[in-house]
Amino acid sequence: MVFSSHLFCFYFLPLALLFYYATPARWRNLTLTILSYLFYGWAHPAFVFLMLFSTAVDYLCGLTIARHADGGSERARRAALTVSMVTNLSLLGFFKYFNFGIDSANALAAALGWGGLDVALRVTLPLGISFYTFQSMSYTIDVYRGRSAALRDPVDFACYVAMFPQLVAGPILRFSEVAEQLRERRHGFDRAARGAAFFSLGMAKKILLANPCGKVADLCWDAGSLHILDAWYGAVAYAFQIYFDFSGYSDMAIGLALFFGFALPKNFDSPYRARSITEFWRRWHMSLSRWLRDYLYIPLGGNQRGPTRTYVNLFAVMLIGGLWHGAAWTFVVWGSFHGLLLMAERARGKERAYGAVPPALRLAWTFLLVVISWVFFRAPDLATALRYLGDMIGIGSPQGAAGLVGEIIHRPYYLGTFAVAAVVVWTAPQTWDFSRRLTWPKAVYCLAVLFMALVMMETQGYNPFIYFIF
Amino acid sequence: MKPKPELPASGSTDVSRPLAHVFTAAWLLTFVAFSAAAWLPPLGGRDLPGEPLGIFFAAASELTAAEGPIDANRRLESMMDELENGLENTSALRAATLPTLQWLLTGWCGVGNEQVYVGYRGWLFYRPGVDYMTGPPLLDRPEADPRPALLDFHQQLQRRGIELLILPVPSKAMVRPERLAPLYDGRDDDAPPSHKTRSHPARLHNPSFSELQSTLESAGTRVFDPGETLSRYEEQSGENAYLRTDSHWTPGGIDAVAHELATRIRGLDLPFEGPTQSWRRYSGEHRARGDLVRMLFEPPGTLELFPWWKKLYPKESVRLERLRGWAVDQQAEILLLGDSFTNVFSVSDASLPWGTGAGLAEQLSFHLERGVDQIAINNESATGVRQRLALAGASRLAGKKLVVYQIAVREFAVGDWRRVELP
Repeated sequence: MVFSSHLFCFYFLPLALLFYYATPARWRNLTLTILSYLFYGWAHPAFVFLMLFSTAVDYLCGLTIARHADGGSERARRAALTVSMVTNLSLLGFFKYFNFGIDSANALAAALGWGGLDVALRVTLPLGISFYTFQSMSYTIDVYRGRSAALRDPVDFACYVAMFPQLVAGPILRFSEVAEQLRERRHGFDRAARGAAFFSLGMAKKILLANPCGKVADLCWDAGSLHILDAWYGAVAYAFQIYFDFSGYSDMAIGLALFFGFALPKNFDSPYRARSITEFWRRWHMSLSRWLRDYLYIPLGGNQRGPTRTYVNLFAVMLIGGLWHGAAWTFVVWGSFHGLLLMAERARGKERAYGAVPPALRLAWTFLLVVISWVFFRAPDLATALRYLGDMIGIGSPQGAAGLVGEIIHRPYYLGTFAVAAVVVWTAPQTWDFSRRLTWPKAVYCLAVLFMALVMMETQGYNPFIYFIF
Repeated sequence: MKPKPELPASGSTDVSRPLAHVFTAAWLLTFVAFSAAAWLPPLGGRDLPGEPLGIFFAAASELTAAEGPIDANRRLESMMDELENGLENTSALRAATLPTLQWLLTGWCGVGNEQVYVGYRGWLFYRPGVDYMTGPPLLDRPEADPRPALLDFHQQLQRRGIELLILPVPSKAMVRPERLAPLYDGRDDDAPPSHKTRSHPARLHNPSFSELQSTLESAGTRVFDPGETLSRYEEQSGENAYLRTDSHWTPGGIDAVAHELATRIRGLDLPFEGPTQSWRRYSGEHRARGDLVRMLFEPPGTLELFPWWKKLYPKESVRLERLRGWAVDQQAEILLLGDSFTNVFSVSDASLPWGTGAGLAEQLSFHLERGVDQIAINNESATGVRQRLALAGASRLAGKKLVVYQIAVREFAVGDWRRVELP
């Protein structure tokens, strides 16, 4: 079930709110948990048990760690932490990387002239597994480090893991951010109003901006060859699509959570206004960046063990971040590319020469690098990515039909939407700031774009979010 | 180590109490209103959303009959999928808004949908047909390569002493791309072809087509690409070879191809034993709206409620040359396998409302002066039609000298090509 669907908007959401507010306060976490499992199980019912298993393991591990705190068995604490991490990483590893591992091994075997592995099994990736395993692991790690108290109530813990607004595509929640809210949270019209604004604007981003930009991107990527300007048009359209798609989803998640009394953290901070790749990663998918920083980069030593180790750590974190997104060599290249850029910026330091470059140029340069990286992110395989990059720099050989693709994507509707997307990316206020202070005109605006988005949604087919596949 | 500051939380907002109440209420009412609108009395006789809900709950009660958890999971997934699709398709809201919105998008913005590209001056194009042409080389995907299935079919026919001739029918945009994109060759499109002085641009095809054709011909399979024939027909007659609002060719286009096909078949010097036959043709007008309009205009069945669609895409008129007294001859020495390009103007149903008696098999019979056997299934030229042939039994191929295999060219890229064992 996706947020931008007929079923969710006109059936699940109204009923979910009705059941939630009809439930006495002390049972609301249970209601939300049941609703979340129903939401999650809609696509693949069997995977509900997988999430339940992961939740149960981490809940028990958290209790074990807490039980042996303050002078208890450190060995037991470590064992519980290990069980939690091994379980989560094993689930993630198997479901996400099994097919990739087999395919890569067979490709290598074929290249070496050996026989490949005859494995008929193909594993389906459970929705949101990358998100809820990371979220679950952060809980046990924080309990182990003493940053959070373990949760006694299993329903509360299940609610934390499965909460449907953020279950399948984040933001990845730190337990400490919601611990208090699981026990006691405020429901009020001010929160609901901000939630309504977030949801409306997120929905508009997805339906009115991301989807049309995605049409252009899909046409370009599905084409066998493109003229140079069309290749850039398609690449930038994809950059807009993924931004509005993912930030739109995050806005909707934050908005929905507010209706259920939860205040979630910010996940995007106008990333295409960044003036360096380092800054980009402080603005893009902030909850993931934070998770990688706190649970990977810092434990590896961060920047505390000299420059060489810092570069290695940066590269390793981005490489793993790339793999987290997808089991394909394109994501390895994407992550590595960003890792190298971060290393280069770290090595450059705060050079006066770069600092003297006008901010607009630095912004343009950063955006250019990000767009190039998105080519690997979007492409189904390395060959397509390289072919597309070749089209972007004009060394491809456009076939006769490339001109037709150009004519289709240059229709006024697509160009107009692209222009609006560009204006919004670089000049419009963020949802976060826009909704911090609500006025009557803003409310009318939110309702208007919500109405337009709901009507447009009816014309569009299945509307998945890009990050649902991670 | 000191924890880093948390990310800012979304909980606080500066909003007046009345505004918070009104805005929240209006927001919730919007969803309630949309939900209620979905249940309005059905438009055009469509079912209420209660129908799919009823089916869902009825199916749920049968879950206990599942053969184990895997079967139960599969059934549940199927039920949920059907429910979701059913709720969308029966939504009165959707029925009311989609046609109007699509009319705005199509008429004002030149935008189609998942299945249709909008061309110029009323021309519509089936998207898979265009994507075949603009997409990457179809042979880059070995798992979807049509050649093994086709070569195997050829070999099986050869063992039975039957020749194979493949007829890949081009999509509309391949013959006249400027109807999809008028700037494609720098000229306005609406003048009749005969008034233009131009050389054809290089025929547009998928980059792999020439390799595909070459492989088949090297193995002894004959391939007749009718693209040049269709282009020449347009230039010489001043008529369109394809329908404006339909994915298929016109009766004139069919006739031109059938004539050329008959010439080529005669050139094969096959040892036909049966006597020749001749048929008289009689003309008749027929009017209909194309399948591409129906694909644009969802939900189906509500066209009559939205008259502005009729102005945007009026019915087209075609002249059918029907054969008097013709019928599929299962004893004929020529078998035509095909898809909707064979069925159009031959059989009539909801998806092909273009009349009968003037299809490819009929025109081929007319020009060859021989009966023709026919097996044609819409959208199934890749594998389905060969499976139907196999199911028909060995007697269907008895006495055959030639199989003409008509394939919509897009099927080479999107079709599910599998080997089929003939009896």
